[in-house]
Amino acid sequence: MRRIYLLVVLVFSQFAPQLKAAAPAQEVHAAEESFGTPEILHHISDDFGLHIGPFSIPLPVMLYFPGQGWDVFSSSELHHVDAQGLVHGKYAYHHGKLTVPVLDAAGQPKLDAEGHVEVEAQEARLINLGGKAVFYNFSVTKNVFGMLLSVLLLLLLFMASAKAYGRRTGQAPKGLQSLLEPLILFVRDDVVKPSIGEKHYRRFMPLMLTIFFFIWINNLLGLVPFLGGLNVTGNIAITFALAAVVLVVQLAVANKNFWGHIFWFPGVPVPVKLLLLIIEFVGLLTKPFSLMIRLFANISAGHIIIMSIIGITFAFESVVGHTVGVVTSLFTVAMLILELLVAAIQAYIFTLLGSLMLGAAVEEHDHSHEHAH
Amino acid sequence: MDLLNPSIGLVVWMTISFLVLLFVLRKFAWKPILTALHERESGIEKALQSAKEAELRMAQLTADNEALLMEARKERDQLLKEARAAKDAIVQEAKEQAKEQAAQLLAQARETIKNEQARVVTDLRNQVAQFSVEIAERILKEKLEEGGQHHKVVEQALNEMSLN
Repeated sequence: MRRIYLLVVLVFSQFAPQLKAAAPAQEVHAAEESFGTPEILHHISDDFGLHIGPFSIPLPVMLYFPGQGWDVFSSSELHHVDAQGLVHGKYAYHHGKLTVPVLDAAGQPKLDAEGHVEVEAQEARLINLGGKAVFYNFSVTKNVFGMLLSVLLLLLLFMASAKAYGRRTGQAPKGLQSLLEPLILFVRDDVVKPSIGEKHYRRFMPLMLTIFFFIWINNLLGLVPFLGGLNVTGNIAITFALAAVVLVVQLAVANKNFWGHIFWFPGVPVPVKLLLLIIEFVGLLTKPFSLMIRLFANISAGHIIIMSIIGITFAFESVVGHTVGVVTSLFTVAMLILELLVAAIQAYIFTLLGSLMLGAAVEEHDHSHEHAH
Repeated sequence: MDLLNPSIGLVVWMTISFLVLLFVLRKFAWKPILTALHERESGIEKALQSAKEAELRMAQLTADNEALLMEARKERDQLLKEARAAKDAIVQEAKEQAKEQAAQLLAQARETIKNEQARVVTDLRNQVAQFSVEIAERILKEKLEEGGQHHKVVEQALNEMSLN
């Protein structure tokens, strides 16, 4: 599998310049056939509407302006630009990004020297760059839709299976129940129990099971073709929230021993204690940060590679016709198989490392100097 | 870059949805499932334990039975031995008794024979005496009748006697 992966990367890196070169040529006669970096990034990012095959399903756009209130409209309106070049009478919409533009005297969006729209207010993000005013985007976007779909699926799957346990007490598991039980047991016996320890693992089981299955099912939904190109776990906001939940739980359950190891490391001289204080404090934050980045990067990378391989077809069409499509399709299938594996592995890793964080927080050891943290 | 900068709206959506999912699943899925799994596991463990105990008890029982059997066998052997000894003793006694009886009978027979012999001897003696007397009578009679012929008479008489 690694060999195929390497081959794909090799092929892609060889043809990348052509891809760029070919893109403008395509734009001339068929704009919808172009498929390059902007399209890939568009797929990776969140989107206001949902595109399932040829169908475009509008989703509600819900924006909250601090001090002004809500603005709610359908995402189908985003494609209707009025005479002033505005969407819904207020917004500029470019490359899937909605902003409130600065308007000139004629009431049209003002452009800066480079021809970009000058922004007055933009979507609120965790780090707000440029000191611009913000609005909060509470729209049911593609990712919110995908996430709610996964929530619904998880509720259906596990509540049905829980019912089966009540109905079939004392009997062997059957059907859905027997499909999910080994996975639940895997999470319990091979991930959570060894990481947290026999004594404390029980109370963290619901959280870790939810995290594992949430990530896994969203990773899998992202691989289903024609499902709107969902990329929930490949979105940094999702992984940020997941990692934040783990961090908050860790800080909430952390015992004296854990805090002692962070702020006043036992068994070392005072200067080392001070040094370790800094290291441990940073470590406290880097662990959830790495959780966030790892999941986001792995899933996004998988999507980018698959999209890039598909992109090769478009880049080569004018050169060698449709035959390239056969090869790239085979590559795509190989990548999808690899991504199926990655989907499970990333869910496993997130759950494992999250469990280790919680395990460290509740660990009780008297022989503390034997361990190096 | 927006790709690496989480949107607050999505974070809020995600956090709320995830927490709702977590609490609903915890109450209606994980708790019943984990409890059922735990119960099943402890049930299996208990069953295995009791099976092991039963096996142990079975082994104990078998050992007891064996010991009992052994004891019974030993007892039987003992009884047989005793019986054989008793039989031997009885046979011995019977033999001795028989011998004794035979000896007694023999002794009686011997005594009888002895007595008979004595009686016969006495009888004979009496008869000899009688014959002697008769012979003497005859000699005396002959002597008395023919005078010199007595020697012949005695001889004749003795011959007759030896024929008896």
